[in-house]
Amino acid sequence: MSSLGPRYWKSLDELAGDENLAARMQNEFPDAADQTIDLPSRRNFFRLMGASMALAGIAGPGCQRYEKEEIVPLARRPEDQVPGTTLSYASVFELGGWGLPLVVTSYEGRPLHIDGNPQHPFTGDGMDKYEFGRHAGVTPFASASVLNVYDQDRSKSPLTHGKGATFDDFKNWIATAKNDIKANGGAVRVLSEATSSPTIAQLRRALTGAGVQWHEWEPLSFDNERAGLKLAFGKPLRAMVHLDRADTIVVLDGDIFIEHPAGMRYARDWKRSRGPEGSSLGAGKMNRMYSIESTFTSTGSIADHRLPLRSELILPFASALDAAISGGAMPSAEFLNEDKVKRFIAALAKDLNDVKKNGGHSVVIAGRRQSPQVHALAAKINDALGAGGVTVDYLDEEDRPTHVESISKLVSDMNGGQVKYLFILGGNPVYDAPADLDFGSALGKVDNSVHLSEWEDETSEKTTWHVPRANYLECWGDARSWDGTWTIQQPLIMPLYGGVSAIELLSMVAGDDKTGEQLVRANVESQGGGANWRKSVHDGFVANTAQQPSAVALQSLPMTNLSPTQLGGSRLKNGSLEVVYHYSSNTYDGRFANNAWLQETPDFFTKVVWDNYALVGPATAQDLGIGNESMIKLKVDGRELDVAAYVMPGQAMGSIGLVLGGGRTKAGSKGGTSADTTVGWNTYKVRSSKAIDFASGATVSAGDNYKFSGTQEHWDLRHGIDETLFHFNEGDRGTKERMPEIVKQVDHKAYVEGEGGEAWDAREEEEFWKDPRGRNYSLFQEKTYEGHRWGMTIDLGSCISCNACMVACQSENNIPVVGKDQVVRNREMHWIRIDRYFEGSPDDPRIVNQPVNCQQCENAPCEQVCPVGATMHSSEGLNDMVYNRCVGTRYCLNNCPYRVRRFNFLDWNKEFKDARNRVRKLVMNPEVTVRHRGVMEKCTYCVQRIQNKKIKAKNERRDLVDGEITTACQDACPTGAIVFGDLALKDSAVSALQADRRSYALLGNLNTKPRTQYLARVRNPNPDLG
Amino acid sequence: MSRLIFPQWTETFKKWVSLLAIGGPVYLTVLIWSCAQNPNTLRIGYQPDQPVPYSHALHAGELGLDCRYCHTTVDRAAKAAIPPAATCMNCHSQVWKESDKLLPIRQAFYENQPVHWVRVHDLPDYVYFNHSAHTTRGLGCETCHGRIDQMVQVYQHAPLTMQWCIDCHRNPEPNLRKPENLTVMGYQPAPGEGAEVKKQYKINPPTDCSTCHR
Repeated sequence: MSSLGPRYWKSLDELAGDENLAARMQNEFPDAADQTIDLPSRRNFFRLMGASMALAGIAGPGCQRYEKEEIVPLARRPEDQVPGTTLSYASVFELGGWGLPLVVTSYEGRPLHIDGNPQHPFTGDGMDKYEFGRHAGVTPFASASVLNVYDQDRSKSPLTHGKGATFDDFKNWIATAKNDIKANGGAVRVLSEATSSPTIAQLRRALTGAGVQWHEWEPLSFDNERAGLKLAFGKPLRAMVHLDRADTIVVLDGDIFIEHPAGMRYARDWKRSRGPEGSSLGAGKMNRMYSIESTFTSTGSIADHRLPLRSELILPFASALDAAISGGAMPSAEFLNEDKVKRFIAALAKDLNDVKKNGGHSVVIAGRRQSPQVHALAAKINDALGAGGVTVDYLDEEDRPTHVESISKLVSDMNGGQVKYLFILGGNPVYDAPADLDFGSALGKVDNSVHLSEWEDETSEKTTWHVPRANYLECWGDARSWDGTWTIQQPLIMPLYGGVSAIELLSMVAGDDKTGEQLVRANVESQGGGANWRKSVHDGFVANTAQQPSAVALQSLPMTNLSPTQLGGSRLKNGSLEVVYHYSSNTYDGRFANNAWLQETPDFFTKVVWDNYALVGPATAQDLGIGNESMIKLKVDGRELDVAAYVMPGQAMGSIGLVLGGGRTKAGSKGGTSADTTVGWNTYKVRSSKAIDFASGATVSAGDNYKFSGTQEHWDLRHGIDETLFHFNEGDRGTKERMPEIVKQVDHKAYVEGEGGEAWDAREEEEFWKDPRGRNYSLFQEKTYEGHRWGMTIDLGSCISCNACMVACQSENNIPVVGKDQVVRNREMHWIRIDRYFEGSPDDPRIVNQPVNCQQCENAPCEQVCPVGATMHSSEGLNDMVYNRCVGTRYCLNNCPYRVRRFNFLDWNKEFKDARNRVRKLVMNPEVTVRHRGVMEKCTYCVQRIQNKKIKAKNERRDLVDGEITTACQDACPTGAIVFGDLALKDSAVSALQADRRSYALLGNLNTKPRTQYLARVRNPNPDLG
Repeated sequence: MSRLIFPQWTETFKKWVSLLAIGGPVYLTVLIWSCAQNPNTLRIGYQPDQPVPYSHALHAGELGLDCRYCHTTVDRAAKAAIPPAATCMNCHSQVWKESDKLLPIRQAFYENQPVHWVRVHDLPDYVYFNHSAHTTRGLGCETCHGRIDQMVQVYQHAPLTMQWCIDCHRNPEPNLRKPENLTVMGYQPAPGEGAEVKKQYKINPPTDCSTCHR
């Protein structure tokens, strides 16, 4: 294998050999990174600080005791409540209408940390031997949702016509309106978010029975699948795929791991059939994944083959694939004759047919935003491949109008004056409803509108009533996971700001005024098949409620008509460009705009924080004459939008990926409070009900420059190693060849034939270890370890770059948020980052993701340079970081080849000292020190968890069991790519993995002896696509 | 003329006098200062007033209540736990039920509002001490808290400095006792008891930074 060098690149500037970038990279921090921004003169500042410190020393705190502290025990302690310990409760997080089962950890009554529920029949099923004791994975959205509970921008009291009111006022209003509501059944409407809650369904049946009309709107909807399967099978269905049984997986323009409601389960199933050391398919077998998509998604980044294709071309592509498999006429689209696409389809069809011939199984999955026809074609191909009942099951769905139809009907009724009462349950339709409907002005024509929402947002502003909604961790509720299992939402805390849940509001409207618990409990006890309420609440689900697969028979599909652009080539002229709407990794659909953890988590692939953008491919950008970070004016269907463009390698030609969820004007102090303080751009402004998933015919004109705040060039591992990295010349050849491999990849075939392990060591020996004393020769005295030896393995082959580890780490370790301007200055504080390397051509690159946290080196370079002993080696091999000793020289970061140390340039926690921020402080994990300004910090393998578990085991007079201690990142990882354990135990999971042939140390040639090792990524390419 | 010139030796004398004049007060100040700042001076004996004049000497000493009757979580959690008012009311709903001194307890219990006790043993916030890790390893309450059974009002007995912690972590044997003697006050370990306990429970106290600092 070739060494790193230009094979891998992180940004287009780097690929082009940009001199400025090389210069920028030489600095540890960009210019002025160590300057405070808010004070004009740094010197004056220090002079003042020095003086005040001296005075403070004389005046006092030095010779006093610590400030007086109080101990405030509960007057009556509930059973099981032990002060200073955590308790975990099962609950569920509903996003986009489907529930993700959770385990929420609570510390003395405060929910603090969120993990997946490993006992749930859907998300917990199939956790493998390396995952003993681990939680099931979570999405970053679910993980970060705990921060919303303590958001002080949440609304605290009802509003009527913009004026403050009380809950009693609202109840009185409902009481007076009750008769009117009953009498005017048809003029009463409910607009709900998509929800699978059986209790809401129950209340809905009662209300619609009384004539109330029910509407549903969700900006990122799964309607197309239901409609498509109805086309294919004659009844509304949803597909449930079993990736653990699939030899070949084909994904048509979809993000099946992060965006898909079943993504956490799909990711695990995918990992199970992925191997390569023993998979669910059998020894030595490994699945092969193809992804055809317009924009890079996690699915495309880990697929063995990815074809960038505009979203609108997926339909002719699917027809062609169908034709290639079951025979029939190929559509006559021009792009299908382009060499690359033609080869791809031929190789894919051959692969699928071969798998079938050899008794294997395949599955084709169509993405959320693809039209019903594509879903129907995917069903047809699956049928031809014999996937039904093996790799795909179909579950019955309710037949209802699509979300677009539903909200369009509501708006036309509102405009027609047929709506007298409108209850909006959650959601933010004024912000995210299709632009052509103009929901906001239609809302003005409704006499009585009620918006139930956690924040006073864009919609609350326009309704006659706003009612605070309880956060999902504060109220009872329920939802179904994708397999239909009835999952219970259990409150962990009383509503901090009052607030009612959706079911409680519906109950008020219906006139019974029951509590959430009564409603859910009555429903579970009557409909749950004799389920025990207490057991269901404890486990988090009602047993045996998963849906059984529906019997289906394929119908003949109607002919598909293709538009001129769908029949054309893959290159498009300005004016006929395609716009594809994406969810945002920072805000999902805009609802997390005020969640600072998510806003500051770098996007999966662009690595941009606190923003949204239009993604343009490099070739398209060149055609349009725009560069990276330039403003563009986008014109779609007569609507215009100013947005910043991000030139994204691998974005399909002619396709512009428009990220939703920015430009909130009433999100809160983090996400924007006015048109001047927005984060990103409101891309909903161009999204119309006619083209809700993607639109064609877009025109782009270039504008000024813009500056993104991103982490792409930060903490580059390669920077310390080779200063000439970014401009290789002929003369630099020697240096380049001695570059160690940072990410290792190996083809499945070569791996089976023995590639890896000793072969790699031998080659490294030859390449780097010219020293005759051999690779183990060390300048330092080697340490010996008698007890535990903590170690970690990160599998590059199963990292889907979902950011769950980053958010979980932030939640566990009290990692501060620094804000957009500070990220520009390299001051982001994440202890674990995900490095994303491109490989290949900018138009169709491959991606490798590499999570990097502190490697806990045995020969740690950081320890050798600390002048005050603030980072010390522990007897168990951890690089302990002692915050109270650190004086902030930053030598350790300078000397860290992995760039994993983070410095507190400012007091990021200053705001918590303000009494007004008391509530926000509650999200802090009391088990971890909150760091102050001027100290260095870094990953410690969650040492608080290690210590607590060690103490617990010894209290119980037993040894620790492998898998008992888990790190936060490990718990959150949906694929189990991160494994932590004791290397001193020969049969521990981490020992087994580190002994694997794929295992290698990052920058091992530096002889740092890191305790974290990586497993090389094994790819399983199709030989025909070579 | 020459009589007006001081002899040469006064030059040295002048230096010493001025050094003493300037250095002496500085030296004394630093000396007093550092004595005053010494944790032994500063913290041992710290005895704040509590909202309820609870006497350990009466309850733990005279009446012989076991420490764990109130501090229930001391051998299974990090915090020993100050008891809820409900624990007091187990007895005080029967005895001294009219006492004025117990008014805050009754109020707390019936109004379900906590009593605000003042912390006596206060470690810096970056120190993570775990009671259970010590009580289950043969360290008696008395070792750190002193003769609680004789304290009418609790005060701090030990300096609770890092030096003090580490001294014991390096050589725990003199302080170890059999776990059944955990709460015995005035206990004298039998010769060799510490070594035996250390061996039996594999006691090997770590001195890593992350043992206490996270």
